[in-house]
Amino acid sequence: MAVTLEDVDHVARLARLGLADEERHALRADLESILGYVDLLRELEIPGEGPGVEGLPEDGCRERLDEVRQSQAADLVLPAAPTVDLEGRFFRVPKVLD
Amino acid sequence: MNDPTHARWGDWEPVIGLEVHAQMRTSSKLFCGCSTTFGAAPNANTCPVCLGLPGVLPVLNGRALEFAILTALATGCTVAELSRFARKNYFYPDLPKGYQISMYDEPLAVGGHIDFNSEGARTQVRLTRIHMEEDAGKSIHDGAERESLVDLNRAGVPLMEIVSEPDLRTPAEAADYLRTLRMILQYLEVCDGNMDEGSLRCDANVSVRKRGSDTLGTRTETKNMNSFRSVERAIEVEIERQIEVLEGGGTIRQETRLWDADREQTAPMRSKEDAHDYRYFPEPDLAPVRVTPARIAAIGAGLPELPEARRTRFETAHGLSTYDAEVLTTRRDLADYFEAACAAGGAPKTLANWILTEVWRIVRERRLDDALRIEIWPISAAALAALVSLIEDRTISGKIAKTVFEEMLTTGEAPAAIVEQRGLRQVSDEGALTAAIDAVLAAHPDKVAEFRAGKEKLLGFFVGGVMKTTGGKGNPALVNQILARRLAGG
Repeated sequence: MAVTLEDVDHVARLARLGLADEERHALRADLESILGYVDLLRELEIPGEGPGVEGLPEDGCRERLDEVRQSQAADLVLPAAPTVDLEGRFFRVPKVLD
Repeated sequence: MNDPTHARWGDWEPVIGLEVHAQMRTSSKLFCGCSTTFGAAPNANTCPVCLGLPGVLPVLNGRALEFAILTALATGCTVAELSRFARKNYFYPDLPKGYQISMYDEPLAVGGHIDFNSEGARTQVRLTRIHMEEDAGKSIHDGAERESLVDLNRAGVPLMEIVSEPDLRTPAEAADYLRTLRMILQYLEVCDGNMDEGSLRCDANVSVRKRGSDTLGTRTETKNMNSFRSVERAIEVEIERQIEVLEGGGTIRQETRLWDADREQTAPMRSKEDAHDYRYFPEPDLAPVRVTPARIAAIGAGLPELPEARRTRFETAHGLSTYDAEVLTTRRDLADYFEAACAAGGAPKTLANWILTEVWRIVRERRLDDALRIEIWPISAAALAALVSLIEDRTISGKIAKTVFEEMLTTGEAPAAIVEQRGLRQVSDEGALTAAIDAVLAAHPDKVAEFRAGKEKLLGFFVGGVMKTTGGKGNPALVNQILARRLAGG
């Protein structure tokens, strides 16, 4: 599958990435080779109901009971965040409009 | 036919569809065990799964699935035996994984419809689909100028997205549809319907076209309405904006717009301009959702009687007016309370009257109606039925019953006991009443003369006098009857 520089720019914009010109070219080549491999996989004929169904148990998606389990994750994660309002226990991020 | 849209927008016909996000009333989140409680300290209800840390796997909350299926069945949708979660990819600080787990081309349920009354007409709105998805976190933009604060308590909270076909034609109709949907969700007890706290949110897809045309105009999506009034107003303003643009020779851009309730206007949402490309793909961390027909049937067996059916039954079985039946069935707990009181032996019409005036006034005063289900009523259904029975068998008058009601509220005593203790039993002894009446007439010979000369309004004056001397206990019907006779000279 051919990947153009426009494709790279489009995906970069969606991902909010600013790319230097040489990075655009390098990523274009990388993406093309990754998607080329996917094209190769596509040639395989896989029977059944589509992705994710083959080889799975008949009862489908595993479910859990609706029970609360407390986690102390935030106590570890908040101090590890690049910017944080520890007193208010918020993550702090550059302002996003809207 | 009276068509209110005709006069309002001239040649233009608005076309409206709603996307409603309803937070499901589960204890834990959609894919992890974090609590869904509103108002916890920021980021307190988070764990490695909803924080999007590496190496974790989501596991579906079975109750959320059942709530969504129940809703689908209540609205006549077809539940898919195989549905699939998908990743909706976009970048925003309140979305820690960089994608939202939602459903895309294989939703949980499709089809269905909601029927309701709006602007005096029977209306049906078809549903496109119902699917499950997780909520995002919350960004707070006030405060520091160049920063936003992020609270991820809401990230991963289970939502149902209920999408309607563009079958709505007026802002009022859209608001009535939303009211009906909210009532159904509350009856099912799958969502508390609280728009202030964001447990029911609504986006409106709005376009306009020339009347008679069967192609759709370009639509915009308006977000951020958090009351029925906002929904109605935002749609109205957006319709007017689109008509103005088109009549000025312009074109409508397909975009997401944000409702500003203070300024009463919609404005394009800059961050969403490029975001329509969500690059959905099947969620590899979750197997497809399989629901057997037997399970769907078992969930369907738990469907309560829905408001529409209940209203009709209240009219036919209990002989209520359409209005009383409609108001009593707006809430499941209220309808249950009414039926419990009927079962306890009260007369339905009198009960309906008392519940919708006296009981509901106290409920409002005490803000008991803030809860989805009122567990403890100010007066039990049985006690209310006992009070109403005392009125029906003429032990007390309706007026005295209000005194008894107040006493029941403060003391919690049974109405019959209050009537006996305070000597409130109605006086229906004809002899005693005649004596009281004669005393009043004798005290006011001038007024009696005026009455007999044709000033019939004075009847009320005499009744008031008799009620005063009997301490309000005179049987009103009997007092009127004897008075009439005595005044006529009998």
